[in-house]
Amino acid sequence: MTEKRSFSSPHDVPHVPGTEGWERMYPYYYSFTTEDKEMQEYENKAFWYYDGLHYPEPMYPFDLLWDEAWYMALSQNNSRIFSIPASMGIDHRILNGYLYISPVGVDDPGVIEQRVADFMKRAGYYYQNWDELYGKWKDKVNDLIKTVENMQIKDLPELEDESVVFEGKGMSSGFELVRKYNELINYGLEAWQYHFEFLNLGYAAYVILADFSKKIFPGMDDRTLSKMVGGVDVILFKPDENLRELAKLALELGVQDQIKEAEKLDDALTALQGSEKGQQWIKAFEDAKYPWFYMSTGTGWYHDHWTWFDRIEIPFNNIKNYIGMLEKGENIDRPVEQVKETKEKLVKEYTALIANEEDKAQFQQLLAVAQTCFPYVEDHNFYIEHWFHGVFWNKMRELGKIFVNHGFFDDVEEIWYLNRYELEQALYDLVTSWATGVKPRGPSYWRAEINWRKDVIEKFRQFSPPPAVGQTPEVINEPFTIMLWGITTDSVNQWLDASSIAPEDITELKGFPASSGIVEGLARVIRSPEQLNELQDGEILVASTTSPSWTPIFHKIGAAITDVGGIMCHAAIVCREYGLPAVVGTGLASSTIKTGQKLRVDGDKGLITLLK
Amino acid sequence: MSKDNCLVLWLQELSKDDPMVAGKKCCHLGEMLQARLPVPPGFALTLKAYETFLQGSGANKIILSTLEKHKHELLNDLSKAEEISSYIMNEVIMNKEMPAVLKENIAVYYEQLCDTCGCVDVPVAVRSSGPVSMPGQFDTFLNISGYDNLLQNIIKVWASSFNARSMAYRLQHNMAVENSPIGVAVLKMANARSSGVMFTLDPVTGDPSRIFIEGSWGLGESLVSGQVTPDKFVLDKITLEIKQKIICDKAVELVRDPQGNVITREVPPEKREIACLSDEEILELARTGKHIEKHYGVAQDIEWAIDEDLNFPHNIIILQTRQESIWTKRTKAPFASGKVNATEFIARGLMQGIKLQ
Repeated sequence: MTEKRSFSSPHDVPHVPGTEGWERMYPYYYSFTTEDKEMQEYENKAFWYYDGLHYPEPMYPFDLLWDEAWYMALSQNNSRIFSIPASMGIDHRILNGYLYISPVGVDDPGVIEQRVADFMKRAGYYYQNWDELYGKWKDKVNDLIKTVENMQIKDLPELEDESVVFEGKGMSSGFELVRKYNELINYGLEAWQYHFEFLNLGYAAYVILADFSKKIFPGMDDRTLSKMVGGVDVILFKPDENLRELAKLALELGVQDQIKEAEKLDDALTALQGSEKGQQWIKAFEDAKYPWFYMSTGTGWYHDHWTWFDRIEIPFNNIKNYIGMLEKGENIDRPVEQVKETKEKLVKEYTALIANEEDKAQFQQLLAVAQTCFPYVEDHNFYIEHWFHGVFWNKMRELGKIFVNHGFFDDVEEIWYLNRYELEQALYDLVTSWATGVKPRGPSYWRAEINWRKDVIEKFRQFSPPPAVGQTPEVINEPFTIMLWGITTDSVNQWLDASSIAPEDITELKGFPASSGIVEGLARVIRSPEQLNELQDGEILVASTTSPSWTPIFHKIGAAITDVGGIMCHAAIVCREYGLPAVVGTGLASSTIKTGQKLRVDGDKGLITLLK
Repeated sequence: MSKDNCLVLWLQELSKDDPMVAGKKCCHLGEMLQARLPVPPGFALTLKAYETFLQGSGANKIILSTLEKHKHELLNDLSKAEEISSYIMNEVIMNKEMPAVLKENIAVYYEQLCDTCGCVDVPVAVRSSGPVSMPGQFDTFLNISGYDNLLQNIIKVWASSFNARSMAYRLQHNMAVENSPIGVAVLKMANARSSGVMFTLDPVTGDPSRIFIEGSWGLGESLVSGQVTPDKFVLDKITLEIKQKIICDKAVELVRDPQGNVITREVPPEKREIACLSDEEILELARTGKHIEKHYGVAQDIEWAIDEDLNFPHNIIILQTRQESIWTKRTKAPFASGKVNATEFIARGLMQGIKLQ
C-alpha cells in the first residue's frame, strides 16, 4: 500500500456551536481526554468508529445506560472471562453526542499464547455444553424479567403506614425507593451481563467459520453462509407470526369486517364483544400478547422505541393489513419450509464439494459449532432489547411520575435527560427533602439544565458524525468488530474516500451485499420508527439501521439500505428471508440520499447508484 | 461382431472403457450420449478404420520407408521435419483412394445421420480422436457437408497424425512414429448462434462452488483463438444464482456463409454489447454443467454451443467435456491444520484476525 491514511484526530473534531459544556451530560470517562498526555496519545493512535448501528441518534444521558452496560459486558467476556486470544475489550467515547468505539488488541505474542490455552479450556466448555447452559440462561433471564415486572414503584406517603411501626420495619419508603432505583439500574446492568454471556463465543465461531469457508470457496458470500448457519424458528419472527395467525383466525371466524372497519383497536374490540366468535378472537388476541407484544417498534435501545404494548395500534394495523392481503388471496405465511430446504441443500452440497477429507471434517466441525451457537445469536435480542427493555423503560416512567409529582419535571419523558448517576442524586434530593419536610433543590436545578440539554441534543441532531476518527489499525481480531459492525479494508477505505468528497457529488455508494437482487425505485429516508407510516409501496427504505419489528413494512418496500451493519444486522436477515435486495453497512447512505431520489440497489454487488 | 473389429460405430455404442476402439474423444462422446447429455448425434471411425486405410491404400509402406531414411532429422532439424511431414501428409496420404469397404460403411452411417437430422448432406464436424491424450495435436474440420467432402476430410484428419509436432511427440515418448492410429468423430454440426466454454469451478481461484461460463456470438473457434473478449457469467453451483455478468464488446463472430464456409464477420452494432446468452440459457447451461460434473465425479472443462435451429432448452449443445486440468490436478494442502478441534481452530483463527489495508 501507499502511504498510510488516517482519519482526523478525535481531539481535532470541532464542537457544535452552542453546545459547549455538553460533556457534563455523560459520565466523565466518556469524553476524549484533555488532562492526561499519555491517554491522549493512546486516543490519537486508536481507531474510533461511529456506532451508528446502535445509535443512529445522539445519546440521551439516561439511555447511555445500555452503552455503559455493554461497554463492560462485551469487553469483560473477551478480556477476562473467555480470554479471546488477541483481543481485549471495546473502548467507548462520546463525540458531540455520538458514540464512538474502538477495539483493543493484545500485542505480546507470549501473552497471546497463554490466552489461547485459557480460551480453549473456557470457550471449549461453553461450546460443548451450549444447549444446557443456554437453557439455564433462559431461566435466569426469565426470572430477572419477572422480578423487574413485579417491582412496585410507589410515590412517598405523607405519613408512613402504621405497619412500619407495628412490624418494627425500621426503614422508610423513601429509603426503599432509593434502593429500588439502584436495584432497577443493577437489574438493567445484569440483563446485559447475560446478553454477552454467549454472544462473544457465538460471533467468534461464526467469524472463523466464515474465514475458513472463504479459503475453500473464495467466492462464497456471507449471505450463503448465514443461510447454512441460521435458524429456521427464529424468535424475532414470532411476534409477527402471531399477527398473521390472528388475521387468519379472523377470516376463519368470519369476524374480519369488524376488525377491518374499526378505526382503532378499542372500536374493534367493542364490536367483537357482541358475538361469540368475536369474543373467541379477542381471547386469541389477548393470549398472543405476552410476552410477544414487548416487540419494540425500534431496536429497543432508546426510550422512545415504544413496544407494541405501548403502541397497540401498530400490531392492530398490521393485523388489518394481513387480513387485506389474505382477502386478495395472497400467501402471508413465512416460507419456513423453503428456508429449511434451502438450508439443508446448501449444507449438503457445499460439504460434498470439499475434496480434501481433512478440510471437510474441519468445515463440518466449525459449521456444527456455529449452528449450535446461532439460535442464541438470533434470539437474545428479543429477550433483552425488546422484552427486558420494554419492561424497564416503563418502570423508569413510573419513577418519572414521582419526579413530576414533586415538581422536578414538567413531563415524565424529561427523566431521560439525566444520566443514571444524576438520577440517583436527584432521587436522593427528592427523598431527603420529603424526609426533612423542606423544598427540594432539584426543581430549580434540573429544570434549567433539562431545557439546556434539550437544546444541545437538538443541535447534535444537525451534526453529521464522521464515520471514524483516529488511525486505522493493520489487523482486527475482535469478533464483533468483524461480524457485527463489518469493519473491513473496503469499508475503511470508503469512509476515507467519502470524507474527502462533498455529499452532493456522490453518485455511488458501496456496502455489503446482504441480500441479492437488483431494484430501482424512489428512496424513503427513515430517521425514526415514527416515520415508517410515510413509506409508499415499492419505495427503497434508507435508514441508519432497522429493527425486526419493522418486519411488516418489508412487505411493502422494494429494497433496504442501511448505514451500519454487517451480514447479521436485522435488515440483512429480514431481506434475505423475504427475497428483497439489501445493501448494508454503507456508512453514509442516510446522510447522502434524500427522500424521493431515484436509486438503483444492486444486492449482489453491494452497490447503490444515485440516479439523476 | 466385437467393437474391435468394426470400422464404423455409432457414438452411443462406445463407452468410457473403449479408448482403444476409436480414441478418447469418441468414447467420451459415447459416454456423454449414454448419460443423456445434449451432445449432437454422430458416428465414429475406429482405429481399425485408420489401419484399414493405411494398409489398404499401401500408404503404410511408403511412410515406413520414408521415416526410416529420415528418422534422425525429425527431432534435430525443424524445417526438414516440416518438409517430411508435408510430404507424407500431402503427397502420400491425401492422394490415396479410400478402400471400398470403408467407403461403403461411411456411406451407410452418413446417410442414416442425414435421416436422423432430417436433411440432405447434413453439415458435420470431423474431429480427431487419439487413443491417448495429446490435446491439439491433430486436426479437426468443421462444417463439412456432403459425402465426398466428408471422405476427403476424414483422410485429412488421419493425415494430421503425421504432422511434425505429433511425430516429434511420438519420438520423444518412444512410441512408434510410423504408425499412430487415431479415431475420427463425425458429429452433426451445431448451427451455433453462440458458443463458448464452461468450467464447473472458478478457474481463477479454484472455488469449487462456482460455475464459470465464457461465451461469444457465432462458432466457438473465435473464443479459442482469442479474437474476441467473451462475455463472462459466474453462478453459484448449488443455488444456481447468477453471481456475476460481465458483458463485453464482441466485435467479430465466426459464422457459416451460404456455401457452408466458415467466415469471420463483424457483429452488427446492436448485438455487440448485449449478452450472448439469455438468463434461462445461462441457467440451463449451468444445470447441464452440474450434471456433467456429477456424472464424471470431477470438475469439468466444457465446450458448448447454442443451436440456432433448435428451441430452448434443446438448443443447448455440449460439444466436448474433459476434466478441468489445473485445479483438479493440483494437490492442495488442506487449510485445516491437522487434527485440531473446533475450539482450537477458532482460537488460532482469532489470533490471526482480519487484516486491514
